[in-house]
Amino acid sequence: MLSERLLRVYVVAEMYRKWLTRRPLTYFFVAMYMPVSILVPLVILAPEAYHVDVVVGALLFSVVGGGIADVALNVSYDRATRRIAFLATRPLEPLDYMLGVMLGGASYTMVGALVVLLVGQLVLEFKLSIAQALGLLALAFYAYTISACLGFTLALYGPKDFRLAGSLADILLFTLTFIAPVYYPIDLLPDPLRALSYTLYTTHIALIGKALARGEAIPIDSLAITTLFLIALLLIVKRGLKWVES
Amino acid sequence: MAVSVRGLVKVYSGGVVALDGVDLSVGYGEACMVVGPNGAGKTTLLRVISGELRPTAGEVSVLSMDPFRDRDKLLRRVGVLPQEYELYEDLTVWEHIYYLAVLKGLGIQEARSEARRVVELLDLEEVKNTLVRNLSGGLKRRVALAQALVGGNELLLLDEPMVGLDPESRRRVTMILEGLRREGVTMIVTTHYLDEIGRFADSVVVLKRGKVVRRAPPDAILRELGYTVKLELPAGRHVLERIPGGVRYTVSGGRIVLWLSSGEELARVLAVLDPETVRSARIERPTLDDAYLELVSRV
Repeated sequence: MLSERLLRVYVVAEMYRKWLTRRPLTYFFVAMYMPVSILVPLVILAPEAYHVDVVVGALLFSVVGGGIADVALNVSYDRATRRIAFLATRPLEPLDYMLGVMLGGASYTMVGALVVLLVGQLVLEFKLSIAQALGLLALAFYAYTISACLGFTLALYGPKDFRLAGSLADILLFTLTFIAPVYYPIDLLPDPLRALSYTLYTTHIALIGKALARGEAIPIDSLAITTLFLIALLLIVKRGLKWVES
Repeated sequence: MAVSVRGLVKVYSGGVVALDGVDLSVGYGEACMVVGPNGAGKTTLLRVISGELRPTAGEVSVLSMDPFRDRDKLLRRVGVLPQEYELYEDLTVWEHIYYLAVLKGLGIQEARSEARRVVELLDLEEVKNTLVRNLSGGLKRRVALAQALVGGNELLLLDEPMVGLDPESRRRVTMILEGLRREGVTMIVTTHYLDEIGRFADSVVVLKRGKVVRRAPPDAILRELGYTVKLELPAGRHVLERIPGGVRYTVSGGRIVLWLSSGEELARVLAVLDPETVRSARIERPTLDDAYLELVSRV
């Protein structure tokens, strides 16, 4: 029954949201301080022409970070400490657990994305229409979803030690936002790095985001590539996420 | 049968044999206590029955269902207390129990009333708004037990429910389980607290190295000891010389322990002891712990 499943997803989301909301200082850091601390120095350093890149970069960093690192840590912690046993012995589908964990994380990660947009709008000269702002938030959620699937993949197939899984997630996060032209235009990248960056979904998300913010046409090939990333990751997670151990 | 297990084998990767051909049947409304040394396979057995762990070989039927194929239907009727776990430390006691009641498949109102019922049952009323991370170990164990009891289960699979509880809590949990047993709830309980669970268990299953080495009612296990009274005396030649022939005894740690088969035999021994030289004596009934230790050492 759909309503029962939706209720279960909501309950799981609540369970995974509260670890952060019950820690106000950590919440402030994750949802506000970190995104803004990335945005402000880059705005000061970058010429005005690159401010769109900087805002989209800070937006993506906060949601990609929330998706990969937070989900990887939560799920690998569940497995390492057997906290998962409480869910595995209930009539709950693994997919409901996955959606719940992702939504729980999204509920605070998206606050960070919103803060970046608001600060960007208040401080910077370029202005977004409501449609553009909503489009960027939708893109942020899309990027979060792909990243959360990546976090799940890391937790399911990576090391059992949740601290190690957390470190690997951080390495992955920085690779995805450093090699990909998240904060700067792709044209500034040297040729070999540019070719490499096209293999990363964050590059394509950044290209879509920048086009949205500038009011340009959305690159359809980037949308298609990120959709393929999402489908592939969903299949990988679905295969690995099982309650029954062999 | 509520639970039926035939020829169950579980070999973990690395070749560790946790279960080696286990056969077990537990009738509806029966309380079965599974005991055995550490690593005997008790937890593995419960995890297979709850559908968490796929066996290498063998058949499992739980409430006439296949725990792997009919998982969704089955887990609405089964309460599970895992042995090793961490609770959701950032939830309050109430949230922990209520959320897991919803995930059990109960509606919002039903989950609320069930959560209220088990909070009261396990005497968690005072701490229900406390974050789990701020609870003592014993209270955390009670929260874990509470989540297993929500939802009016027909079958309870409890892995070491007494671990970490103080004597008062153990007594309370024993009474709760005894009450559920009277209401007809089937349960399989692994434990090292034999005497408490043995008060209401219908059968004791002794596992050793993945095999069932004995299955009998607690009384029968006790009878197998061959004695009903244990008399402990200070060691000394004057005592040893007076022990009547045929009486089984052991000497260790400065004490003589006499294993007596009846009250009459006890009276016979006491009659011949010299009260001038024997200034202290301790008379005890054997416990299930004694019987278990004797049994495990024999097989």
